[in-house]
Amino acid sequence: MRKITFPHMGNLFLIAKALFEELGFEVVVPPYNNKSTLEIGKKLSPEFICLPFKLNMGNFIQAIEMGADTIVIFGGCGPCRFGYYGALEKEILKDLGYDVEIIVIEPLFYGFRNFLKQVSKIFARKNVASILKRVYRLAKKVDEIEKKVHFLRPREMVKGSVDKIYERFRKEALEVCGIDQMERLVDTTNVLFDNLYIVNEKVRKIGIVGEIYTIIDSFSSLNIEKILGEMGCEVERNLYISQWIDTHLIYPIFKMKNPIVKRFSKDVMPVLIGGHARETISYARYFSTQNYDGILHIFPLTCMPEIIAKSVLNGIKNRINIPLLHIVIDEVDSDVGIKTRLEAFLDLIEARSEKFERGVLSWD
Amino acid sequence: MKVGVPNSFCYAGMENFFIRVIPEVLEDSQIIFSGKTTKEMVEYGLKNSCDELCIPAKIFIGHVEYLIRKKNVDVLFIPRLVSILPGTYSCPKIIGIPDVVKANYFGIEFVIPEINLRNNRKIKLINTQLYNFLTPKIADTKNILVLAHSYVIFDEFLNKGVLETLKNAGYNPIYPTCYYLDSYYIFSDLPKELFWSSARDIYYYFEWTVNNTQVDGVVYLMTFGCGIDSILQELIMRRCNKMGLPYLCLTVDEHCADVGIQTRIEAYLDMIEWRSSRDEKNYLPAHG
Repeated sequence: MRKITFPHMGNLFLIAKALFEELGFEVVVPPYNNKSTLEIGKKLSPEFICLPFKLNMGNFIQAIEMGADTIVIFGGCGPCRFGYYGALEKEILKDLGYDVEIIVIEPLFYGFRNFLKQVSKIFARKNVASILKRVYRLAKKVDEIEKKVHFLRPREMVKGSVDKIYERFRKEALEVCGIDQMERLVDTTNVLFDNLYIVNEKVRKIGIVGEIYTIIDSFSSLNIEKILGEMGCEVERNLYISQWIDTHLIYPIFKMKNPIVKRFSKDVMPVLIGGHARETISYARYFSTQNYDGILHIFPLTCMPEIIAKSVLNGIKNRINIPLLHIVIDEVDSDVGIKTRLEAFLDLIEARSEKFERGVLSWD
Repeated sequence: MKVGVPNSFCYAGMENFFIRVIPEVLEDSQIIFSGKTTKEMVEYGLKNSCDELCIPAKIFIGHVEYLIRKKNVDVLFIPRLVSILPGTYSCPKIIGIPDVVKANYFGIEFVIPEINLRNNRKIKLINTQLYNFLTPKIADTKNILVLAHSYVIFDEFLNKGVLETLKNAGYNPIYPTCYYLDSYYIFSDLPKELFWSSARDIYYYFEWTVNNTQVDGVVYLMTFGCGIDSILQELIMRRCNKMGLPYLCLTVDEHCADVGIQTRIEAYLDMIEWRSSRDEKNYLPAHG
């Protein structure tokens, strides 16, 4: 029987694990992204490639050491570098002498037959439609949990209780098997969250936009969400895993577009340039109209679409008129550096809101 | 009406195309090219662009600034090159650069037509009309393959005189120019077709020259922060290692000095010479 593994991306492992177990495979979940994952990945990857690739390589090596023999990843047809990840990873693993099969699920641009050939290796069972439907529902529920964590962290009465529940949830998720058990675990965690005592303090709202991997994966974003939560900020992101499924798999079927992206990117970035640059720009503008106190823009070093997004945001920053901090994630970033920058950013927001109360418009 | 065209970055080599097309689009227009990169433009570019951009894009911003400040143009003509070869995309920075310029410069008019041949498999001729570059002459011996994007190879500031250094040392530099080969039909042993137009061009030229001509070595000129190069360089390096071709990768950015680059080139050429003077197959170096 195949032992399937896949790269980490935040809570994706919960959903992918349930899916593959339901399809009848044994699943090897690599250890959560940590320092040694990055260390392994750094050694094997090209120097200037973006951070997600390095973490992926680390995940694969660690999973192979745990006994995995099949890797499942998505492909792409450009212009972002993500589309070539699979092919390059295949090349590197082959040169290192690992005997694993890599299943790259390419989009339909490369032909329907090719797509079916790759997909049939994993979906060789009946009842696929109902399984996919249940997985989608699970993805929605897992994202609900994450949203709840973001809401509760600044408001909890006993500090640290939210993280305790959340950590336990992630740990237990590795032990349960199949969609049903996973869903039950999600439900019990929800009940625990609902019974938390909360206090009504003044909470600042921060919007996070940027490259999908670095904002979803808490290791690569250096726990920014947690740090902000502890500083008393509620966090809202522009991307969640279920939302990714919506925009890339569900919307195209009905020829729909994300309404926020459609509305806010028309005049600044009319065409798709790859990655999530358009989402970044449009959500930054959307957040600025929605009573948010500040926006964080996070992306890995040398990410091609996000650099363009940053340049465009630099140009229109006077029009959106909201504090905006760009954080470039590199493999050598430290938590303390991030903490200092976030503290300074929050101080700026504080000072700015006081000025507003006194009727001063801007310091410029 | 003064129409400014910054001819660097992805628009380098498109002068003839612009001269042909602009009079059709804009009536009674006077075309002004920004010309060769000067030190002034580089400084403008470094000052006005975001830090993480790759150096050719920064210089491009400098060209735009120069046109607006010094030439007083009314309209900027910057087509959006979504795709210039069937089945491919340009780099995201090339696709998005008109938006960057538009967001950063007010009070000037922009003409941004879209060139997209991605799904258009019938049009092939237009590729040869888009770019005009001088193609290199391939000599019988002592060829050195210099791989880079054409806007690096034809920009004196960016390539730090690598081609000149090679010529002075008695070698013949050959380099890919845009659509020198009809790369759509060349077979390669890549795990997956590259989906960037320029990467395809560079890789297929590499594939073709290595198989069909006598090449002594490969030099990859990489610009710092270029996303395509980070993948392409790795693929070409692995291929060269397998074939036993001498390979050198140079990363250029705004800080690197000409002399440093030239020293490395000279050392590399010495290595090639030293290597060819021995029986390379049976000789094992003493230092491992």
